[in-house]
Amino acid sequence: MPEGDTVFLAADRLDRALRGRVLTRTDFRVPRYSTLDLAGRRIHEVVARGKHLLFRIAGNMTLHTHFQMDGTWHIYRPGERWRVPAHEARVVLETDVFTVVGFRLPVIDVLDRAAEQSVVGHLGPDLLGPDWDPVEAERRLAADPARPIGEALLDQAVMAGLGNVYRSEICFLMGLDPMTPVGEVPEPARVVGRARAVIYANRTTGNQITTGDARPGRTHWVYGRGGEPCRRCGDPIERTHSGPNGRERVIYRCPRCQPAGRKAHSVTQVRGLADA
Amino acid sequence: MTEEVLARFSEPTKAWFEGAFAAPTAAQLGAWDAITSGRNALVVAPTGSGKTLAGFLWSLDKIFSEAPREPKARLRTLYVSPLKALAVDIERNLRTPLAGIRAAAERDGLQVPEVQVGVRTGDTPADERRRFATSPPDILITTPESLFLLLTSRAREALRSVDTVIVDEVHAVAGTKRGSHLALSLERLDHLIGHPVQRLGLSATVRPTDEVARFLGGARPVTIVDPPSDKEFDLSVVVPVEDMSLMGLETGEVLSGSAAGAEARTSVWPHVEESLLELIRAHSSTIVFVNARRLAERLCGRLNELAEEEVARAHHGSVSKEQRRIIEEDLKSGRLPAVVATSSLELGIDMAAVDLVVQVESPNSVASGLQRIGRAGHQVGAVSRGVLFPKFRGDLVECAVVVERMKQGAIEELAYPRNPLDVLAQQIVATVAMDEWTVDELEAMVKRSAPFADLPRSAFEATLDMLSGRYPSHEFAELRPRVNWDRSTDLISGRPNAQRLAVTSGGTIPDRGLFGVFLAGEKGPRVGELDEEMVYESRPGDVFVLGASSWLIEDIGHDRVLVSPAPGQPGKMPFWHGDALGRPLELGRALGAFMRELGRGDEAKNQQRLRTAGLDEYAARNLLAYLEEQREAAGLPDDRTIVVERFRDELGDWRVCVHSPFGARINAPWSLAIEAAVRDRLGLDVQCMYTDDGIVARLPEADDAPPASSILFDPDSVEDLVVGQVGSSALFASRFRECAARALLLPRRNPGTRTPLWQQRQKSAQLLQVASKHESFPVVLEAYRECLQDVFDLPGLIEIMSAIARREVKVVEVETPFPSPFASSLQFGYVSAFMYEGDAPLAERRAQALSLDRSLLAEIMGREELRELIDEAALADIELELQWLTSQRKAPNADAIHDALRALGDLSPTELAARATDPTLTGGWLDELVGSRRAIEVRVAGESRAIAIEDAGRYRDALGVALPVGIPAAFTEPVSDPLADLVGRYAATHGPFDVSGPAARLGLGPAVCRQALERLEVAGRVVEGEFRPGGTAREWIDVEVLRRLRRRSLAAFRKEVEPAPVEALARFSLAWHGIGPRSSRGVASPDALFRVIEQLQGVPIPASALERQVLPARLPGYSPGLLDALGASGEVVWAGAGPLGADDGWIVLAPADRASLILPLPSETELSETALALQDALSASGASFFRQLAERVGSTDDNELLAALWDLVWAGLATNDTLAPVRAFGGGRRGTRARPPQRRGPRFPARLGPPSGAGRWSLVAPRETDPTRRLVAVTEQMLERHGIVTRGALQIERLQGGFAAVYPVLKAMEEAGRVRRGYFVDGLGGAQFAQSGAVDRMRSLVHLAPEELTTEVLAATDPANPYGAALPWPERDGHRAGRKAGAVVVLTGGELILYVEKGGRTLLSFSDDPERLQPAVDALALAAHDGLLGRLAVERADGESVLDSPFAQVLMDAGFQLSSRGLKLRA
Repeated sequence: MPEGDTVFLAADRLDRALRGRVLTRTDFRVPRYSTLDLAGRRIHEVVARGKHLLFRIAGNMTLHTHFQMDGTWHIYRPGERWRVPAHEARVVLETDVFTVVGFRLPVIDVLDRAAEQSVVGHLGPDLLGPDWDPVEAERRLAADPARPIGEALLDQAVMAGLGNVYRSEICFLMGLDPMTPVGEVPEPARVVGRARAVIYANRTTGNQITTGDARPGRTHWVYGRGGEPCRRCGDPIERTHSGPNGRERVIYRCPRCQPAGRKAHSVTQVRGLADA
Repeated sequence: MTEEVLARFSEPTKAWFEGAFAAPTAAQLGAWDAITSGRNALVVAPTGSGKTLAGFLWSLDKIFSEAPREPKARLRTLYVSPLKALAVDIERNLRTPLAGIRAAAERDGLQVPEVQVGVRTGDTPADERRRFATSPPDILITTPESLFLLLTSRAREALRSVDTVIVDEVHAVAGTKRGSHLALSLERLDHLIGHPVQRLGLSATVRPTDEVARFLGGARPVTIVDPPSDKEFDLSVVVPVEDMSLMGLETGEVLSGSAAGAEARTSVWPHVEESLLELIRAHSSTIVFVNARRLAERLCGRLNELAEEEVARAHHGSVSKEQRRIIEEDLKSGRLPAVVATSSLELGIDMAAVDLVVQVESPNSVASGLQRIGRAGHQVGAVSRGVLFPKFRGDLVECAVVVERMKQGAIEELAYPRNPLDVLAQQIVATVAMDEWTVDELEAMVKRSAPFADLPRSAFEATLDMLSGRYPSHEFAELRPRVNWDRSTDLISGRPNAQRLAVTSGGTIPDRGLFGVFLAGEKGPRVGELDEEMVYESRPGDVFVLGASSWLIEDIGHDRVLVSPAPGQPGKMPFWHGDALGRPLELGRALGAFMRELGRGDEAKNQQRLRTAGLDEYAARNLLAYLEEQREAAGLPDDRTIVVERFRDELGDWRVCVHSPFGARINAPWSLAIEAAVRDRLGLDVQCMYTDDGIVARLPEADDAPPASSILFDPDSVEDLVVGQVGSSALFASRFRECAARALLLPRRNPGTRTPLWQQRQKSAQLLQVASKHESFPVVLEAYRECLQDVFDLPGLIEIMSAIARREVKVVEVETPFPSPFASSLQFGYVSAFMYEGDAPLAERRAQALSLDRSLLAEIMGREELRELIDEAALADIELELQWLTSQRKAPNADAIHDALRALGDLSPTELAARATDPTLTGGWLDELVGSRRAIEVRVAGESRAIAIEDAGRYRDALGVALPVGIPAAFTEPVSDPLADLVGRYAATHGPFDVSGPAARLGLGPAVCRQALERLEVAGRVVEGEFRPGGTAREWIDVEVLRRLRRRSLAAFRKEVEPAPVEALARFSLAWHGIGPRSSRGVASPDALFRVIEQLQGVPIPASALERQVLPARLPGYSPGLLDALGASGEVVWAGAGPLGADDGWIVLAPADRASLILPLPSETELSETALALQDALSASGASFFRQLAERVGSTDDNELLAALWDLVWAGLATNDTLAPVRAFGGGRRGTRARPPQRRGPRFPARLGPPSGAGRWSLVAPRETDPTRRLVAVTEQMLERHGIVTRGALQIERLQGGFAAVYPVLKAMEEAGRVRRGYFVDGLGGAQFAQSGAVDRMRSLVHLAPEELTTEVLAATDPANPYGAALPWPERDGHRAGRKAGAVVVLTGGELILYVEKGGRTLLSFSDDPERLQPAVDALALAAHDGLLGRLAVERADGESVLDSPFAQVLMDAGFQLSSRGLKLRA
């Protein structure tokens, strides 16, 4: 599942492939833009905002896409065979050096540059953005104290960039039951700091590694490990759901390390023992 | 001999053999010789030496030549093979001799019986199995598991006629639990038959053969047939690139494919693939072995892509057996040029046509290498040709060693597991399910097998206990009895279900959670299997690769994945969890020796050696370059050297790499021990990762990397540390599950279907919870044994630690600016890890394994003086929080009020209002709650209060509160101690209180309340003590509240202080030691001196400095007589702590009553015989004069005796009433004035002995040896001495274990309120501890007027001199300052100005400012005049001749005069 770091990496790579190049052909395979032709325009840059991608194109235009569950952008040399079936392609942008293809993209908008805010304006501080603002993120997190932390972490209006993998992992790392109301999380600032540290450390690889071990099957503490022994205490990891009614998504937790009703370790408690 | 042995066979057999073969192989001859004589035999021979025939021929001969038996007793020969596929192969291979002998017999006109060969494995259809019981074959080919099932069913009757058992591939099972299981099955077989059956073991080359022979025979003798092998190997190691160090770098190129995919990197793979393809094309039939299934898939795919045709197919354990059979056939028949395989193709299956074996990556062990390469030329006498492709440079080293050792046949030793209790439990259930046994018979049968030969009776009985229902089955149903143990008759019999249980859940191969992969559709065939973890990360619609084909996931079921073919679509590579154990210690040692030898040899010789071993030119060059780079960067580890490398990573965190070539089985438990020890000793969270080549530890947020001592362990304690850790590891959890399954405690519900892994894991976790309460629960013991011996090599680790302790292995520490080449490859795959926040408290719980005795420590620390420790503001905050009175906590609605009542108990309307966001609304909310029966109003302590409905019964029963009518019965049921509940809640919601608090609140008598509190105290929920700052009475507090309070207070204290600059520490150090005008020790008197010594006790000071500089600096007007007076009166004692050159030594002073704790332990130097005799004499006669001692020892040589005496002194063993002999000892120096002339010690006439033997000698008081007591005393003393203790300050203390040792003590003292911790001095790291008062004193010295900055001259070794200890010497080039005996420092206002070496030869300045230099030099001159320095003759200043230096003028201004070599001060 693409999370903020994946999108960040994709933006970086797409930017390297496209920046400053002139589009030689475009092909929008969605009804709304089927007749749109951007050929002849130069691409200024490609940037990420949370999990959104913005292609800024000459003429004050912005192409906005979002991966949602399993969208992806691929980069090819002209004429190279695509690695995903062609019928899944939604956008094709060609230059004379690279062709980039967006597959299975559920969200595609072509906007006036000035209207970018209409698609990304609601986002909270971008965890990987140049203007990351932890204080603002903490304020937004605290705004709804009754909401479970597991749910709040996924809310892009609080912090932009976290997805389902990270929210499970961050709750584990903080020793928090995902159902803990935000108001009872003792030090929300640390949760925010942790979120940033975790995603930042992965920004160049696109692998959501939280255990430090990049080998397959060992990258996560709890995510995707339902029924497996906790890497910390050995108890089986639990697979449950969390989210607003009707939009629950799977979340993993260790019942022993993240017991319901217990407060997370406060800084003093941890520091008192861990500092030297 | 050949003739003689062949003659034992009947004529047709002999005729066929001689016709078919030129001559028997040595293995065959030896085997037949033993077999035909009726002996048990183990035949060891490499593949391709006719082993099958060696095992079978005699059996065949007998079947043909003896009279036919009746149909039900026909079975004679049982052949057991660990591989199902091998069983099929053998059946085919027997056809030739069977037909051949028959033909030969018929040629001779003999009538021979029909010989039947049967196969029975897990794949045998049910009807065939049924037929077996009624009409058994002559020869049965089976597997260990099927033999177990046969023995545990009625079909076992057919086994009664067996007279020979052949166990093939013994080496493949002996070392595993499958082997232990088989060994017991063989014993059961013997028991069934009633006499020992002849056993034949066939094995590939194995070592030691007697271990395997013992495994095969158990209590029976076994003849070993192990003819020298003439198997030839043609091995080479090929590296297809010129410089492997350039591999793996980012190219910066934009790659095709997913925009978020991996970066483009240079790779060795394209080169390997090309060379591989060339090799495949140049040979007719190739097997490529790799170490992981994932790699097999990937490599196979790449080869076919490159070849543009199918040249290879993947073959591994996850490819279905039908597919594998097709692949094998295709390879044999030449239709397929190559197979890329994992160990699945390693064992015996006939692959005669293979003429090349390629191994990609090191095969991890010599044994496995031989087995694999042996697949090529798998015929008698053929040369086996093998090529190894290393993956990276570290791998290249291992490949080279493996190749060398393969040629020497130096395979690793094998050992069979001892006493695996899970296997025992399973076999007992199966055995007694069939027959009734007495306990003794059963034990005797079990102990006849090798794995259980030494089974302790206690373990045997514990296992029987478990099986007969000793452990509570109400907690875990599967603990219900499986067998009945009638203790009056000692008979064991099976329960009704036992047989079914053993049959459905028996076996030893763990279910590792693999999902079957099937083609979608009715009864679709099995394609292979996938790891459960891989399945969880996949979704329907994903495409993955298996068996080099692509498959689309259609559906994922609870234990299977349904797929459809997706040819041509690129798919993801699946992963499987390997269970490779890692490099064996033996190979690790060999690898270490290899690096050591190459590190010494010259280039040409090394080249020669490597080329001879089979390395090609690139391989040899890469290897040598790699080792050379490593040697330059950090040094080469080897079998006698462990290199500990430290560097900072890109985040600034310390990483410590322990380069240990001893393999993962050593490094894994070692890293566990390091994690535990660093956490406990240093309080740091460390994350370790291990590989075969070492350990990487990352220390986030640490000031300094831990010293090498924290990675080394006492050989005796390392086991405890590892055991303490492993129990809570995920490894243990999974091994426990497997052991429990083997012991039949996690039975399968239905035979044939698997229980989903998550369910097994949940059940196993439940079982573990129950089992861990019982110390000797056999499955827990077995899981530990398996982890420590089979997975880890704990005995090996202990051996390494002992070797380090014995100095046979040395540990070298290096700090590098960048990771060395070895370190880089160690770190490969190790990225930023994020740790669980709460892991530090977990470490606390693990503390029991430490050498530091925590309970003793607590005892020594005494009753906590907590009033000191509690911060008033923190207490006030917490009290508000506990009472829900903070603004965040206030109730916004009726629900929250209900919560408040439940949490806080009864509350009056006013109290409720105080807890609401809007006090005016509480009345309405309460009515709402009362109306909905969620709260009720009652009278407590004469006041109307609301309580939550849930508490109704409690208040009624505890306080006799009258309840309103109509309360649901559920809320009024009696609870066990309602009063303690209410009082406990009071405690949990208040700060420290005295007993009147809850008494008044609840309207109870104080006595009743106190009793309730005492009950809670016993339960560990409250403690009594003195807590509230400013209070005087004893108080109670809830332990959780106390914990919070302490943590919060500590944090508040730590934050309180602004750090002071480092100069302030230097000024403080002098002031604290009473040096300089601001000190106030008063006039020199014995009392004043005693106070000085109290502060200096325990620290070693050079004798030469003690009375000349150290004591006078603190006590102006000091004279030696003062010290002698204290010595003579017995108030102060001294001891030596090591000599310093020929005429000086370290002296430690201590008040007599503290001597045993504070004086350093005697050194363990070897003493001469005279010294030992002297020691005895002193011990026998107490204090003695020199002459008395001479008489006692019978010595006539004063010089020898004196030398021996001083040996005792410097070893810390002998002392004297006074310091006079020490003065005389140093007095022999030429040209220095040893002491002020007016105070020369009394001269002794020669008849009393030499001056340095003067006075009364005695032994130093015996030392306290308990390390904890000593450590506490020393730590306290250090705090007394320095006031503020930083890590650096310890350097002068000569502490064993360094800071790591005192840290836990300081931490405990902090928690007991006896010392403060904080960031007191800027830039000195976080570990700073201070006595109360010290910090304020230091802070008062931050700002001083210029006239207050006095200049002091100190011995460099004076404990008050902070430089070179708490503070580093200021940076400067050239000659370095040091805390050397004889050197002095001159400080002005705490700042270091001058450093003068012994006698003045070299002078270093640390200031350019003449305004500061001149007073410093003046002070120096003055000190020399006062006789404190001896003669001063300055020759060099700041690295140049003093006469040429700007110093000349300054010195001459201070009264120095020109002399021949420099400037001299005439005293």
